[in-house]
This record gives sequence, structure tokens and C-alpha cells, in this order.
Amino acid sequence: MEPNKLEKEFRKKLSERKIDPSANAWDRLDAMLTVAEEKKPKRNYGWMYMAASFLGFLLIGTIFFSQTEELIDLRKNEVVYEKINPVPSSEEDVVIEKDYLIPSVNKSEIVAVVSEVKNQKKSNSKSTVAPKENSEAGNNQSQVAENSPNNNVEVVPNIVKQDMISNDRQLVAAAVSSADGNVNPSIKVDARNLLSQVDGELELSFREKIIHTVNKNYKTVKVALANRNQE
Amino acid sequence: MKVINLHQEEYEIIRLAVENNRQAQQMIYNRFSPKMLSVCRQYIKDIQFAEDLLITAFMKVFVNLKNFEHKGSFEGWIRKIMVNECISYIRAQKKISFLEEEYYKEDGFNNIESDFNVNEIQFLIDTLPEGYRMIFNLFVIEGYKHHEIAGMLGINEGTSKSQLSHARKMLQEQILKLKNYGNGTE
Repeated sequence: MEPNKLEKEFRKKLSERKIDPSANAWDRLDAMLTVAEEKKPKRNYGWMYMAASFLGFLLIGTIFFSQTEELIDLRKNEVVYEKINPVPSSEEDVVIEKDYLIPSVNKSEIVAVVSEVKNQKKSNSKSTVAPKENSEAGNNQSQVAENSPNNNVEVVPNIVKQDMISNDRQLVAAAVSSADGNVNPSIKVDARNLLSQVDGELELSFREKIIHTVNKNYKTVKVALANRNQE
Repeated sequence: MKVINLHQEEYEIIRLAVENNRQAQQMIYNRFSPKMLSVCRQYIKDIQFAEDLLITAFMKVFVNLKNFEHKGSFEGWIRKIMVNECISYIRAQKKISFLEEEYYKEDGFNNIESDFNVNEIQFLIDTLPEGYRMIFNLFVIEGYKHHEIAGMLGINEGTSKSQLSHARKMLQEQILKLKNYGNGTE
């Protein structure tokens, strides 16, 4: 089935043949090539538009979420100031001053002082009883002292010292208790609750604004379409 | 040296044409279009349709030029695109239907000797039906093997062989007619 002599002759003569195309053939091809070249960049722009719109949505989304976070922080600070300021009692004023002073001192020292104060508080409750006992004991001792005057001289200064110390401790304890009362967790909880409530209200209002604008636009479009259909 | 220069020149022109340099593209077109229109004419009787196919095929050449790997002949690569374009066109027109038959026989085509000019050869080929002409062109002129033709046209190898056998037989009859007509016996 291989090509024979005649077929080889056919092949040779046909492969050597040349037919010139018409003069406008190149112009047609040139126009087709130009159209093809113009089409290519359009496709690229289409992809670029899609990518740009996607990035735009992404940017809007990030801005939206980051904005809400910032608002929450700001409002927290505002509410804290509001909670501290409106109670103008003298005791709390003192406490507030203490609060402002505390950060300048080392925390470990504060903790140590507070623990000491608490211990003293407990000991005061004992010590408040103790002077009575002491006084009773003193009475007893004074009664005994009538019998033995050497003991009486040693006991009286101790009682005076203990009274002075107990008074100081009571003052410190009172101040600390008032300070503890001011930094009570119950007030903090209230502030958080208020904050969350306020935040929720503000977020809702922001969303509502968006919903309102969308609804307004939708209604305007709807009315415009209805008018157009009527016309 | 001359061959190397020619090769380098062709390489450079192709590179420029890939970059949509219109001058380079026109140079390729001017160099190969007469030969390629001859190829298209083998398959398509109407020279206008053949030219349309030439333009469409050249368009594909320039679009796919970046895929040309400089491994074989550039002319052969363009020729292949031309042939494929012609086959696609004929198949799209549904002008051919191959009868699936495995039977074929060798004929006595070898005995005929002639001295036809190219126009006479084209005339003889044009007398063949579309299917026969296509397989005759692919096998005899382009040099494809039967299994390649079967793959290109989506037919059995046997069908390709039988179609070629029929084409040869018909061509033989036409040649004899032409000879007798030339000798004045008919």
C-alpha cells in the first residue's frame, strides 16, 4: 500500500506548487490579529475588576469590624470616669486619692501593707477586747497592786501603749475597709453591665442605620421602577 | 554559514512574531502563504474557501506560535495546522461519511505511467469524492500512515485502507479516461 511511482510524482509536483493568495488576504488577517490583540487586555481588566472589588469588600469588612472594637474601648473608658466622679462623698474622695496614689508605689508593698492591715484588723477585733481584759486585768492587777505596788508600775505603761497602737490600727483599718469598700467588685460588675448594655444599644443603632439606609434605597428604586412602568 | 544564518533569522522572526510584531508576522505570512494555499487547495475545490481557510489557519499559527518548540521544521508545523484546519472544515460541513469496511484490496495502480502537469493532477484529485480525496491527500501527498489517518478522522485503520483503495481505483479510471481523451480514442 506504499505510494507508487505515479503517486510520488503527484506528491512532488503538488508540494512544489505555489498559489499566491489575493491582495486583501493579508489585510483580513491583519484585522483579525488586531481584534485578537484588543480582546486580550479586556479579559485581563475583567479579572482585575473582580480582584479589585473583592479587595474593596475585604477592606470594608475589616474597617467595619475594627471600628466596632474601637468604639467599645472608648466607651469603657468614658463609663469608668462617669462612675468614679458622680459620688462626691468625703470618704470616697479620700479613697479615690488613695487609688491615684497607689500606682506610684510598688504593688508588692501594697499587697504587704494590705495583708498587714487585714491581720491588724483581725487583731484589732481581738485587741478591742484585749484592752477590756487588760483593763479588767488592770483592775484586777490594781487590786493586786495594792498588795504588790512593784507590779502596778510595770503594767500601766503597757496598757497606754496598747491603747495608742490599737487606736492607730483602728484608723488604718477603717481607712482600708473604706478603700476595700470602694474597690468593691460589686461596682465593677455594675460598670460592666452598664457598658455591655450601652454597647449593645449603640451597635444596634449602627446596624439599624445601615438597615434604614438599605430600606430607603430599596424603596426609592421600587418607586422609580413603578413610575417607569406606569409611564 | 548561510544555513546557520537562515536558521537564526527564522528563529529571530518567530521570536518577534510571538511578541505580536506585525512586520515579523507579515514576513512569515509572505514566505509561507503561497505554499500553504496550495495545501488548502488540495482539500478544497473552491479557491475562495481555500483562501478563507488559509487566513483562519494562519491566525491559529500566530496564536499558537509561542508553543512552537523549534524541534522540527517550521514549515512542517504550519503545514500540519493547515491540514487540520481543512479537515475540520470539511467535517464541520458534514460533506463526508466514511463507510466502515475492513475489506480492501491491492490494485494495479503501479502499471500506469504519466507525465501530468500540476493542474492536471489537481483536476484528477478534484474528481474524487470528499472522503476519498481526503484520505488520498493525507496518505499520498502528506505522507501520514493509516493509523495516523484513522486517529485524525476518528475511523478504523481498515476503513482508511479501504477508502484509499477505492480512491486509487477511481483515480485509475479517471487517468485512463484522460489518457484516452488525450489520444482521441474516446
